[in-house]
Amino acid sequence: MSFAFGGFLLLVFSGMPIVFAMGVAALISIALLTDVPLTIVAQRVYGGVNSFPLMAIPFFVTAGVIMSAGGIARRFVDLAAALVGWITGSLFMVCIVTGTGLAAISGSGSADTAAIGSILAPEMRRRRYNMDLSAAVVAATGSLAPIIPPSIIMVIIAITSNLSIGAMFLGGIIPGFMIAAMLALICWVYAKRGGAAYVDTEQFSLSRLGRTFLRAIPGLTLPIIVVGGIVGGAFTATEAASIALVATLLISLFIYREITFADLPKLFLRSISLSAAVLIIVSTASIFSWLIATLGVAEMLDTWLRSVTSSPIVFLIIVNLLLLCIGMFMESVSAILIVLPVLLPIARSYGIDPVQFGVMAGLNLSIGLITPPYGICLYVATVVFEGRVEKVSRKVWMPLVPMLVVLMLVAYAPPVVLTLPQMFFP
Amino acid sequence: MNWRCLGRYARFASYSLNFRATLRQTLGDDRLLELMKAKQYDATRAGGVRGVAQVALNSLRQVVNLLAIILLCVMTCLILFQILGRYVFNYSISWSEEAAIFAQVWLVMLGAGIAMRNRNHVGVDILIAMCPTWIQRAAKTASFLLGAWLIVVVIIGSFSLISIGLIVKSAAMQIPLAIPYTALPVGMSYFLLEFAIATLPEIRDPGTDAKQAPDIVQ
Repeated sequence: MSFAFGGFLLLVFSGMPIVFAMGVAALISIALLTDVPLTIVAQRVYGGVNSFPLMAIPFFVTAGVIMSAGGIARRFVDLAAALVGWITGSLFMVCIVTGTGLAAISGSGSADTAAIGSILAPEMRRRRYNMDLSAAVVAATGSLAPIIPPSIIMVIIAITSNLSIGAMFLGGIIPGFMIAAMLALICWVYAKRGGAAYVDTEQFSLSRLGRTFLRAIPGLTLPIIVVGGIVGGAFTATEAASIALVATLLISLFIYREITFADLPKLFLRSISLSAAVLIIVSTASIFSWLIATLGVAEMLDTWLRSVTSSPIVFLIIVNLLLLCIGMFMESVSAILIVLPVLLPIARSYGIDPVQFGVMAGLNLSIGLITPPYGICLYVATVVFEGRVEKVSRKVWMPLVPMLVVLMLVAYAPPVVLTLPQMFFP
Repeated sequence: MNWRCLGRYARFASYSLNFRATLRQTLGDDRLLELMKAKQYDATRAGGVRGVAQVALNSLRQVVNLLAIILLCVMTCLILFQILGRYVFNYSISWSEEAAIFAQVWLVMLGAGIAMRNRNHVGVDILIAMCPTWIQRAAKTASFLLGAWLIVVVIIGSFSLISIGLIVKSAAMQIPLAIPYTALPVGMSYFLLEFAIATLPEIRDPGTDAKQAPDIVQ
């Protein structure tokens, strides 16, 4: 089995696309180590996408693509500006509030980062904000998307581990908002000490808040329909995602009128391309997970870990370090598909709640979205802010602090995650 | 046979078949257009075999694009009907879920090639980019051969699935399972084609990929 994992790492670092690395590592192991006929590969590739819950992903991705083109993101920025634009370091606050709001609609971090960054970057430059720090903060708010529901990563975690998608979504809410709040606090402290660039003279205006709120209402109803519908049991996650897609389409086409029917094929094609890239990884990874299950890797690792430690606290430390390292180097979807089938059964045997463990894994990999060398949100923010990756990376520790603190809370204070899911799914 | 002449004929045929710039703009992706503008792959200029191949490739891509868009719309509509059926007409459609899943299988298999064309398949090439050219070339060649092997294994394996699927019927709709299974050889062949188109120039000239801008909206 170390053969398959080692082969996978070797292939990934030799620059092979992950979709192939995962399949090829498993294929080599099957061909060399077992006498299973190779037809199993085709079967698994088909079985990997032959799944109804997975269909939430193309719908959420399409909704996200249309949202960023259709003006919902800009309305959210306007609303956030009216809401928190009077606080010192207002643009940071606007960015964090918008990021939290967008995270509640879209499921993917880099799309949010691009949407927020491209709207706020010009203003931040004009006001002489520290651009590297701004890019880091925008990247961090983008990385909230996988934690705050709906989230593609949570859907994949729930599917691979047979958990309820609704419970996973609810589990992410409190940690997500805690990170946003702490991030806002840190930015506020920085802005207070930062000098004239961050001082705001603008007054809070209730009428402006009301006006922008009215304009943002169509977008704001989306998270309520989606999360409410799933949690209330009215829809499955896939159905809720299709509603989100149709609602964003209707809002963008007929209410905000920022896109026309002629734009749709291009937007659809982009979302097909993005979601197929994710789903085909799920597909080839299912060869890998079949191999993991057949060879009994989880049991082997379990016995080994038991011989090292019997304490869940030490186990969680090991797992968190492992996941943080993986998140730094790998893309989240493939990381989940490889690691979770092995680790989750072990976590269960240590008496850790699977939903808590899943949210913890998702949070770890979200942190990986803003850490170099492979942090997609960090890269996107850097591109949008026209900065340099090395410089932005040096500022990224500031938004990392709240994420790591919340990660520890999630790992060692289960109620942070479990309160909401237990309330609705007892 | 005069290939150059044939190339011109195919070009003319493709234009008269409404593959005009407008259609290309609405259906084709931006990067393809950019490349064509850069005259690198300009079908209207390249004559001979290259011209024919390019026109054929472009037409194939349009067909795949169109199919994928239709599949996504079908999926969305099916799920919407399912919800409407349940809550508005008080009638649950038994087959919508299955039909949508089959559409998804086709969508993903065709979409894998589209994603390859748009460079949406992520990989870690930071380390390899630091290596000397001959190592990059060797790694790229190896990764192409291994990836192609995987795709070919899937295609070959899918034939036995299809032969079973001709007999076995799906649970809800009672259609042969060969219909969704056929997505494997068709989609994977297109995937292999796009994989070769994306990778072979890199093997010849490593480092071109790194210069390409990443798609920001992921």
